[in-house]
Amino acid sequence: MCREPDLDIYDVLLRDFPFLLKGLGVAVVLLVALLLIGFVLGMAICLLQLYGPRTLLVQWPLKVYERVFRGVPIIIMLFIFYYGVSGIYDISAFAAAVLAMGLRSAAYQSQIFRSAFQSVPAGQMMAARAMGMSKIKAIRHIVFPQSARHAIGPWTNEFSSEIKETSLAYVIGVVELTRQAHYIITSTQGNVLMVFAVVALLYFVLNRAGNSLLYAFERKLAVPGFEK
Amino acid sequence: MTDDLVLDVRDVKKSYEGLEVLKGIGFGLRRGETKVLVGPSGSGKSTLLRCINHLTPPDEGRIFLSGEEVLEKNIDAMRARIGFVFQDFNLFSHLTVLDNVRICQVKVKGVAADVATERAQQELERVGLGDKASAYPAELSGGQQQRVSIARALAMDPDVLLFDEPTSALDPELTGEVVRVMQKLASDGMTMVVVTHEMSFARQAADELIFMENGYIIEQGPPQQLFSSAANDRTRAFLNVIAEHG
Amino acid sequence: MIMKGMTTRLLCSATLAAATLAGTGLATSAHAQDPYTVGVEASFPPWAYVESGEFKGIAIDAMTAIAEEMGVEIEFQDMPFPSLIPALAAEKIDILATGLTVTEERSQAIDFTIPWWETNDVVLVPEDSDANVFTAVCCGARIGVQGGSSQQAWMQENVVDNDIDVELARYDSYVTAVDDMAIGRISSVIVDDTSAQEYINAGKPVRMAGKIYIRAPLALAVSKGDPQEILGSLNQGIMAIHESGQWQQIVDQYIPGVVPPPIPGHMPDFVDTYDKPVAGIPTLGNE
Repeated sequence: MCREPDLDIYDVLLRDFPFLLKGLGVAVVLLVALLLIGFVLGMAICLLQLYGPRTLLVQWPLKVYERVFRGVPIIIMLFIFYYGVSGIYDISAFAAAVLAMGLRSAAYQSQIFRSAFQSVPAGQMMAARAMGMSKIKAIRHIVFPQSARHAIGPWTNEFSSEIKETSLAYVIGVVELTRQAHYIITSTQGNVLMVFAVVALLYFVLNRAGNSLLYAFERKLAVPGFEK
Repeated sequence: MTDDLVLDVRDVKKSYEGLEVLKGIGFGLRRGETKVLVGPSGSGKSTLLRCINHLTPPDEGRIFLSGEEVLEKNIDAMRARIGFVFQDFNLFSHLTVLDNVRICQVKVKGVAADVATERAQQELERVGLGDKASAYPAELSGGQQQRVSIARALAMDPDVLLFDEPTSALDPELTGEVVRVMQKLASDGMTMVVVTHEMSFARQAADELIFMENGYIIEQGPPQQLFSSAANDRTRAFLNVIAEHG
Repeated sequence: MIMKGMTTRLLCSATLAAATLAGTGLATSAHAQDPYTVGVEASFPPWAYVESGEFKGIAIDAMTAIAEEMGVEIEFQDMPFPSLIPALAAEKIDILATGLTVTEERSQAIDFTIPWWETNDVVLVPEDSDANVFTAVCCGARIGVQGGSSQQAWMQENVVDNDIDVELARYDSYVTAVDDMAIGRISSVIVDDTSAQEYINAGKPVRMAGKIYIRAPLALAVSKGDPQEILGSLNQGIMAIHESGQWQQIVDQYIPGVVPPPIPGHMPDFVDTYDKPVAGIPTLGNE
């Protein structure tokens, strides 16, 4: 079928809006998956760094991991995971993006959690241990709930910045929101400003929705004496 | 001989980076007894108290609680039976007063939730804070927080209660309410070791005063005897200074 | 009426979003029993682009026709242009089908089919500019090219490296470059003649200042060494759609009025797969 040069950009945007939403869907799934990996792994790294064995054998690799993933541009990581890993396992572009971005988020989240844990006064752990709690129970019932309140602000920042980073996954062929926008732009020979304005709005709405949820969670956890 | 002792501390030594803080300390505590540890700062009183429940594990020596040795491997179970009251309270700041007093009963001793709640409420009444159950620590005065922390320790039904300078972090006008609670506990027959500079408490509530200096116990005996006629010059000098300020 | 249309669209969006959630599997593979994965750069009209969620373009339709000739299944995978050749080299895709120019450098990393098109480059300037092909490419001009494209390579080798005073601005896509020229960030854009005609047809405020006859052949490509052993049947497929007239139809649909160059086109000596005998068409090839 021939292209329809008679359609103006508003018609095209309206007609292709479902595809922008589809791209937004891919971005959201990518975001949730990478934040989840980042959360689980970041928490594990943080706990090992703070409470794990102090031997170099454990601490040194954690430090290297953190430095590497925070220090290498995400595009490089995407290429490494997509093309580099394919020699070992035939990984899809989406999985490579989730892994590369999730592992990097883990490095950032471990830092967020570590400083949150460190801002809980040492006396809290000491009192819990003095009452007979094991280290694990003390972390779980006393230190973790308090550090969660310290972490939620910086974590909201991480959430917001990762939303924006998902748009980079297109370099290895993940067709997310920005890529869908490219399709509209190239098939209509332009309209960069109009199309990206709509895309910006979609990212903005997603970001606000996520932030509102996190703020609501923060309010739910609010305790007198924890206001900052 | 050790059987009737609730707490039996034998020849405890502790060094920090080559500096010997405790140079062989021993004392015993019978059921219902209150002993007060006094001495100049740096004499090792707080370290001794922390060695008892291994918050600071001793380098040498042995500690028995009701005949059972306190060891690294049974430390959590032992700590559940040794109440500890900190100088700066260390209430769990994300929990209400009631939950502060409940949580370790439930999570450490496995007490049923409703039983723990009832017990917590009782202990709060006992320290005069029954009406503060739903408040958060940050909403209380220092004196109230310290009384909650005493209730928290009591709710565990401990064999012995250790107080590490419980009034030192308080404004002078708030020490009275805490001292009164401690006096009441002593007269109720609680077994306690107290590190404090509150000589009024030592005089009225202590069965025995232990004077420490430079990591040694210099002298111990009933408070009246030490206050009036301490055998050791240093004890006498220290108690005189303290008595003037206290 | 309008409201009804909106509702349908919204419903459609929701369904698509759900389908996306379900469809993002973890592993893809590019092995024989599965459909062949055809990598395209889908922001490169008229060769390959996406409209209303569907792949379209000369390369897309022709590749679909060739696959029919070959009797194989294919699926298209969109990637940014700079990623396509690495993806083919890493065997993440099996076939590369975009307006891909045959170059010596590329022929060392991937294997080309016989050429199916020939392009020449065009110097695009703003409609109101009076520059000609010489004045547009000299004297401190800022010239837009797509990063990694053959135009970039050609300009670098023949212009920049010859100490002609120009600056190359690399773009992700030619559409952005053309838009940047419209607002005056760059003074000209070097692009292949078919794309240039597209922009002019679409009413962009540009005109051709002149042509650069580079006679660059375009071809499909497979991974180096043809691990899937499909190069021969691809070559046969290209010949078949050419001979059946399908090729002419497809090209005509996207660039009305253009006479496609003969197939096979000029086969440069430096491409090893163009040595005699050519896979699938043993009578062809360079001695």
